[in-house]
Amino acid sequence: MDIYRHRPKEVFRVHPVVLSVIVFISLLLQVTLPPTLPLAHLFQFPLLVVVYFSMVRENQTFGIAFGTAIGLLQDALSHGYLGQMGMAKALVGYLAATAGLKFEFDNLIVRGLLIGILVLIHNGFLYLLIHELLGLPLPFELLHLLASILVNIAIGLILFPILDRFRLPA
Amino acid sequence: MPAIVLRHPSFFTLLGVLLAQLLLLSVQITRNQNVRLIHVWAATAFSPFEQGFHNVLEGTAQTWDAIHVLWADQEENQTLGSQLVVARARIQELSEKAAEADRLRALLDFKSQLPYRSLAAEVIASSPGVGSTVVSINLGQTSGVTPDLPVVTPEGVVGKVVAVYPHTAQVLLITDPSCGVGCMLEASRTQGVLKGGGQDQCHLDYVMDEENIPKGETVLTSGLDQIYPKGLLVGYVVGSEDGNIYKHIVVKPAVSLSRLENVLILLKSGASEQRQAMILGHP
Repeated sequence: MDIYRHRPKEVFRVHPVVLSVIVFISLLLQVTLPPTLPLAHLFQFPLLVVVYFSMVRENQTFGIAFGTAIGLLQDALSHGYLGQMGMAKALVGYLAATAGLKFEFDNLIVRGLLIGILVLIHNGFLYLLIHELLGLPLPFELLHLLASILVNIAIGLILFPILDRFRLPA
Repeated sequence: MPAIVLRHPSFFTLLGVLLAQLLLLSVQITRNQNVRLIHVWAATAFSPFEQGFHNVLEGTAQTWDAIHVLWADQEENQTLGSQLVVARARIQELSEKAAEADRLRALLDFKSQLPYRSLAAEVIASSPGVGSTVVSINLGQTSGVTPDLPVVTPEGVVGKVVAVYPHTAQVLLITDPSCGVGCMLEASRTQGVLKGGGQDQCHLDYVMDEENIPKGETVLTSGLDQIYPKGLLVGYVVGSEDGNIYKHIVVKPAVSLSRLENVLILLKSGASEQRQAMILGHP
């Protein structure tokens, strides 16, 4: 099983309406699930959406813009400081798009590894940004980080095949 | 735009987006005393430059001030230097005047003590010859000066008038070989004739070998030459050797003849006139 990409470049696109709906649903789930489902605070639906569509589009600029947009929306909804999630997700969008250019994204192992790595980068970047750079209190919990990685890998491996149904060849 | 930016536009786009949001964050977040983080960052980032620039400005200002002060000091120094030269000249002038005043005061005191009429004169020139023993004074015939009048200073005998002109006169110093002064030794009262020996020295002649003449013995005028009044200080014995008949006695004049400036001309001389004057108490 080859994880590197050998096929000719095949770029997918998603209808803007579908994309908007997916983004909306991901944000809705992100804000509505945690109060009712304790485990849901580990879920990172917007992050998974960013990873998926950035890899599918294989366009770094799109990844940056898409990640920034979703991140800023998430910041706005969380009543936190605008830019925290925007920066983290812009970075993840860029890295995901870059990975999409190099790896065979349809491979499950690739998907799982990339999700894990990008969740780690996302959370690590947020910690560095908030705790070290901005000097705001944010405890570092390794178990929480590992749990988040594993949970989101699991969700991603379930979610991404569903999202595959909405992608169209560019 | 640098080539590296053109080669990796997405990466630099990412950097730009991150930076923009970082600035957005810094505007929102406040730290102690509600200071926005962007202000903290800006102050932190710019403070070294501000401090450096401030130091440069301050250093420049201090350097300029130092140059200005140096400039002013230089001008002041030049002014003070000029004033110093003037002040030194003034001091020298005042010192000369003070010395002259002292000399004149001593001369006046001496004149008042003398039992003779006298004229104060100023030495205006010396003869141009080598080892000159003649000086010129600023009084002459119109002032009553006549030849053979004795010339003295408070320190002692100078010489005698040898030539008189309407307004000046020439004085032959006692160091001239042709000048003879009737003298005696103060302690032993031994008499002799003082003659000039040149080079600020005189010889006391006609003193017998058997006389004991100690060094430092004071030599006074004897009054026997009918020119110099008796008892005026002439000099001191500085050397004495036995000769065939007469001693060779060297006398150093009491007056520094090479630095004469003011002198007194005694109008009455001669032992008889001196005695008369002293008896009558006439000045």
